[in-house]
Amino acid sequence: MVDLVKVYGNGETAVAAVDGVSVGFEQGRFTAIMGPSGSGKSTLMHCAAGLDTVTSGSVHLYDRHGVATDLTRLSDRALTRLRRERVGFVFQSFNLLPTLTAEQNILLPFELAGTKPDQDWRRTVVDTLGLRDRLDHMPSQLSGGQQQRVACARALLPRPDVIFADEPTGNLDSKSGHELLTFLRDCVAEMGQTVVMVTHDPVAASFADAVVLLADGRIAGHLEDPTAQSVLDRLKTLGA
Amino acid sequence: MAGLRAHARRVVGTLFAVVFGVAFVSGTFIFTDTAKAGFYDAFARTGRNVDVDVQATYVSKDDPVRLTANQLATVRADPDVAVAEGRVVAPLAMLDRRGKPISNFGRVGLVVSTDGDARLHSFEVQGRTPAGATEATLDVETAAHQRYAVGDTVTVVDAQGQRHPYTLVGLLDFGASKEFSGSTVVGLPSTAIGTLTGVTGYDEIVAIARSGVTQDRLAASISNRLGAGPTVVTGDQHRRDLANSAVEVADQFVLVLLIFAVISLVVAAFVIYNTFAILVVQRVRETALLRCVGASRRQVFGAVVVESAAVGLVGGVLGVLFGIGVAYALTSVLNGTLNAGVPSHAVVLGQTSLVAGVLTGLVVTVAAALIPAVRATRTAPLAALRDVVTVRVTHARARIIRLLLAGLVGAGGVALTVAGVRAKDPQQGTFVVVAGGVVTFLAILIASPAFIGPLARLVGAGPTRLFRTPARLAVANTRRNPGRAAITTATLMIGVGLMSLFSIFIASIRETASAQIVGHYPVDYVLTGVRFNDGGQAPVPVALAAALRKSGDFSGVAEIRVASVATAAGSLRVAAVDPGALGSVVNPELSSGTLADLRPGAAIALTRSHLAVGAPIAATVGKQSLNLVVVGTTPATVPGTEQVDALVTWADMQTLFGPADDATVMVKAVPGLTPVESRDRLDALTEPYPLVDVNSIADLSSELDTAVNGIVSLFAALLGTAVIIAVFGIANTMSLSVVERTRESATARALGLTRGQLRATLLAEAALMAVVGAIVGIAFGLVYGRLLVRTAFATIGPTIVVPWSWLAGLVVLSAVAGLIAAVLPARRAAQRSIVSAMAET
Repeated sequence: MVDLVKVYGNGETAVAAVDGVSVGFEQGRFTAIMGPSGSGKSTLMHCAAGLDTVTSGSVHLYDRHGVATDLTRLSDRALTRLRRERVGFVFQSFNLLPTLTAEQNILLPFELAGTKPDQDWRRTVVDTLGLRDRLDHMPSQLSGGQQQRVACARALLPRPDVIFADEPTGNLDSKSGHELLTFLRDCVAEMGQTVVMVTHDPVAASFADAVVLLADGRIAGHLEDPTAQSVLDRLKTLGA
Repeated sequence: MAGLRAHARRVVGTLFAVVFGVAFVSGTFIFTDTAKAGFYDAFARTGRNVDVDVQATYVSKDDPVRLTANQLATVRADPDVAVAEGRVVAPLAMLDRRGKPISNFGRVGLVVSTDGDARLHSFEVQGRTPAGATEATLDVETAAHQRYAVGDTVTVVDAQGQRHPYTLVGLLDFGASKEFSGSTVVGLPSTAIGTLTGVTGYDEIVAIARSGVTQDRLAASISNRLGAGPTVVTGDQHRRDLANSAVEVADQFVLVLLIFAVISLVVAAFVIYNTFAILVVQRVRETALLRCVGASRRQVFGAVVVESAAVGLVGGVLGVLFGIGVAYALTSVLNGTLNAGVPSHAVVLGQTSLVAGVLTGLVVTVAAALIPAVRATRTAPLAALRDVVTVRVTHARARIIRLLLAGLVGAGGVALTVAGVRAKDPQQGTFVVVAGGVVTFLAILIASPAFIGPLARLVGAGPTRLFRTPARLAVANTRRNPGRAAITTATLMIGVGLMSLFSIFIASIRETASAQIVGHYPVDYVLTGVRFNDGGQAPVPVALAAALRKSGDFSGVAEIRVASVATAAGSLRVAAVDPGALGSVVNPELSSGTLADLRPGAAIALTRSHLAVGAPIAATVGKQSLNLVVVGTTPATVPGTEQVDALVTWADMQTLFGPADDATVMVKAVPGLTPVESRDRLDALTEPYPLVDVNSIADLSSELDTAVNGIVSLFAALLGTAVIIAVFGIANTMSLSVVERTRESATARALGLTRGQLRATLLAEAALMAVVGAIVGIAFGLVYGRLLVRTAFATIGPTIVVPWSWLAGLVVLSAVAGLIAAVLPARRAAQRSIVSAMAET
């Protein structure tokens, strides 16, 4: 990402949520974006994922062969296709479609694209997440942890170039949260999946390979192999 | 109230539903008031200057005992009378410039007397009144559309079929009065009317009192002088009576209209209920917050009720305004399709229409919002903290109770229906079937949340294969809240159900009627005499039948005579077919007995007589009497004449009535003659008989079609209101659902649903609901349309016709209506940015 600027409003009321951020998320790594409330971390993620338009700057998504696509130059339709095939999402409040079963939710991106998932991969994902006997359930019949696992399966199944997770543990109890983060880390370590996670929880961030710190819409720091304590220490210096 | 302001757009659909429902109700009332005022005005003119009115007594509706010249002299002899005149109105056919009788809805015109004091005329004369034996006047309406002017020659035909030319010396202007509207009205001196029509005496005697004499005093004094017999009323009373009798006719329409208005209101109530139910669910968080900060259940309840009252009041007021337009439309529709002759008059907005309209809006809206209001009070304060659940999981127990209730009500409906179908008396049976239909429909409504979902999946199966995801999501969406989907579709179900029921009913009547003609009478033409405005009909002279036989162009000529005989049970219409044609040209199918049994002394009973085989008929005509026995029954009717009760032999008819003219002559052309050729020869042969109407079987069928189409379009227009309200209901439900699903839609967009697909999903959902509603409605209409036809016409053995193309059209129309309803909500949903939509809860 280069010189990313996102301005909300215009004229005197204009607020730059993200102000000249240039950052790269490495392939095959688990990166956490951290920062206090209002630091622009969610906006940064939305722009990176092609959910939101940018005011200026560019967003490049590299595929497995290293070919870059500039998201800011794509039409809405092309951006939608890109999200469908190359980007996965895990949201704080799960965001499963309440009218579809767990299985239908998982298969939705394929359904939208009109394609079929690789059957071995599908079995692997479903079994790894322990969802085999929950596939016929409606989201309302699942616990929070189960719903978030369904969301994970949905994000993983298309083998996207990158998965964006927006406070994925925010609505989970600590045990489910721990399991989920472990799973995300395993995805990166064992399958080479790229994961970018927005969080304000230092413990969650400690599962990541690297942490990008954000404050007032600007990059405020960088940490490799973080621990909960090291993240907390850095945050304290930011808050001051 | 603040809630209302914040969600103004969300109740727009509801408002429209209220407005349309109220407009129909108040429009009906305004129409009644306006029509009444129009009738009063019209008859004020007919009775102007009249202080006392003496009326002929009536033996039956069309059979007056007229007032005599002696009675007129008696009235004139009263010292309190300033002027008294006799008025006579008689049927008289007038020919157009081509020499054909001018008729209006099958009936020829009238002649009125123009002699006497001008103050007592019910018309203004442009020109002068006829003086010589060759002069006549004509009403301005007829003069205008037949292009006659003073100085032209017009031709009338007397009762014997002789033509009489007259020179026009004046035109009669009846002003706003619609008493004779549509008919040709020739004006002649009363003596000339006597010679032409055979009508002697007067229909009424009108008198002006000497100054200083009150109407009441004069009426009493004239009544004394005339003794028993004629009715004597004051002029004021007379004018009121005339207007009231005219309004009575209008009142019958009003009753029908009110039934349709109630249907619209029921549909509107469904829409209102649904809107408030959804709003309450959407505002759970808000309401819970209010409860948290100390609002009592009563206050929460009050808030919803006040909100609904505001909507009802605004809708009611707007509805009354729209009602004025509806009243205008009703007048023109009724005059156009049914020839109701409602006089035009400035709109009368009475207090009752105003109050009734606004109250209807208020009461219906508040009543429909009561259940949602109660539900709102059940909101727990803690709900403020929970996530809003937009998918309602129906508990198995609730579902079982619902199905049990539906089954119970349904069983009642079916039982009633079966009883109705089996009933002996068709009329009673029809009522019971209608009642059974209403109850069964109720059961369908109760059960609908259980079957709408599966039905939607079934209907959506085709589109799902075609459009994949959007259609599949749409199907899933219709199933998310079965109660809401059920009520949304129910609104359309009602309108479409009734429309299809009526269409089947009417198409079947039409087909049955034409099957009657074609099946029982394998002829090409039916000759009848023209009908007069007083219900009488000109005969077909026997000489015509003789001429037709002689010409050699016609292989079959059947003479039919019809006459009334007196029996112990009242008057009976009997018909006889000439022996040469019975069994060949005229060959009615019998439901019991055979035509061969029809010998002198025997009779074949037609359905409407309700006579069974073996029943005796002791017929008398004057001093002649004859004992007949019913030997067979037939569902056939005799076309071209008034209703007939029984067929007798030609010989018995001769015995009873002696030689006389025919009522109808049926003609079959020789093979090889083209329709144009046979028609030409027939026209040439009937030329000397201006009062004989020539109808081909094709004419009769197309006349029937025109009448039927008129009724169908009238019903469609009346039910259209219900359908329009239903469409607003769908639009409202859709836009509210879109709001509710903002975040969900955003998620789907994030996962790769394009804007187009999101739009398609919502459009498909609305169309799906509409189609499901239409299909259930049509299914109901199919069953009850058939049952009603079968029951109402059980005795005739009706042909049941299902107008499939029209029904298919209804489904397509519903789908299109659903699509239109969803266009705006779908646009709004697709335009939202993903991120902002996702942030919303």
